[in-house]
Amino acid sequence: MSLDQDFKDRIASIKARFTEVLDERTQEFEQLRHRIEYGQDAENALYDLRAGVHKLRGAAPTLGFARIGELAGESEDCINSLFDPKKTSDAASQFFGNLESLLTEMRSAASSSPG
Amino acid sequence: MKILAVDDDAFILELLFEALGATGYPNVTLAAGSVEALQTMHDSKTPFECFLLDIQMPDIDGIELCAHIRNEPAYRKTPIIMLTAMSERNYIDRAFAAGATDYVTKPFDVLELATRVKMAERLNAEMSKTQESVRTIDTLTERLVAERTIDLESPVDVENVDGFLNFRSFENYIAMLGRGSYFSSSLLALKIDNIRTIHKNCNATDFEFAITDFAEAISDNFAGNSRFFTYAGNGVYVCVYNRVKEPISENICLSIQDSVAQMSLVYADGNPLEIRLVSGAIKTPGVFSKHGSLSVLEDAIKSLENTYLAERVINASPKFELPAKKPKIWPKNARFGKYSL
Repeated sequence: MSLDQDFKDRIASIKARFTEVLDERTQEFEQLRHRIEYGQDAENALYDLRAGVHKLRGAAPTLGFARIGELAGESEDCINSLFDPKKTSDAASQFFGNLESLLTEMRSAASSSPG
Repeated sequence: MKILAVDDDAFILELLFEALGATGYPNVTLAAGSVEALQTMHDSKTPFECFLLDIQMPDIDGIELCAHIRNEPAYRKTPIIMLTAMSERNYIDRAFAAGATDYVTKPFDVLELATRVKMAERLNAEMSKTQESVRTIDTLTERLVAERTIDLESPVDVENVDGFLNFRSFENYIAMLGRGSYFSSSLLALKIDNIRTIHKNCNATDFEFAITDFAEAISDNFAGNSRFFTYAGNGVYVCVYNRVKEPISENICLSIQDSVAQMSLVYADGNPLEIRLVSGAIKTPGVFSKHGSLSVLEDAIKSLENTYLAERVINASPKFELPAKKPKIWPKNARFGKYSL
């Protein structure tokens, strides 16, 4: 089974829109990080961030952004470990480090957007 | 094929729509969440023939939605393919327990997705044939109904028994296990040794009842979070479990045998229906076996023959006495379901 050019064009169009939305998502994640860092309803912010990175984990690699998917997956795992009562002392710093890597990758992909 | 795809990510929904359309499935309805999906199902004039459900969604997650769909009489057997970004076995196991028939891991490849949907379509075609047969039979006389037959070697679908998967779903489950889960899984095959006698002495309905009763006995002794089993045909049941997280008791065969004995099963004429059980060796994927291969399933079924030769026959009833003759040696062309020994 081969996929025709029309299909490839439509996927490219979805990919382009996804890239545009990445910038918006980056800003959302940054705001959530701020709330977590400064304890402003941090638990809900963590839940929201987890839902956000989970979506990225599935959608980004399917659209060809493998590295973003990988880092989003690691971020989701890090957040889950923060909810674990047996979490290690460096779990928080791991989480912030990982999130920064994800945001950097997202900014980089968003800046490559033609829009 | 009429498909309902449910995901809370708009991009995934768009991708599914395009990917399915490009691979020959243009009749796709999209829902951005479980509540919308249930409303769409309710409003639909014709039933959906396949579901694609994301697992992790807010409010009602995909596993709960799967269970809701299965509760609808019209969708008791409709293929449900789960979409998940997670490879954790826990989610997959819960989805199968809720009635899923298959799953696709995100990121998904378009052609792989098409393959899974094509399998669902085949399953639908088989079901339609069966339903057509049932409808035809319903219009015939009682005599014709009584003459309905079930092929001894064919898998039988058992309903409403915890942990039971139909044979195709069971194969999907084994084939799609993540690498870690695959190598920590073990399989055990059990056979009703006197299945030919039971099959010969029962009509189709009673035979199905016997297969279901035995499945219930297995379920009572075997069901767990990561445990599933199937009926492969020819009296063979195959169980899969995670030997690391949920090892099984050494005496599980005896326990199942006891449960069956306590059921005091009888034939239609009132004579006792005795069941003798043979268990194979526990099989685990070898270090060189290919991840996702079904060879371990075949190995588990084949090991029954060796076990039988080792005289591991267990009595179904305390009153039952083992025959004094030597154990029967299966002919080389004997078949257990679709697998030749």
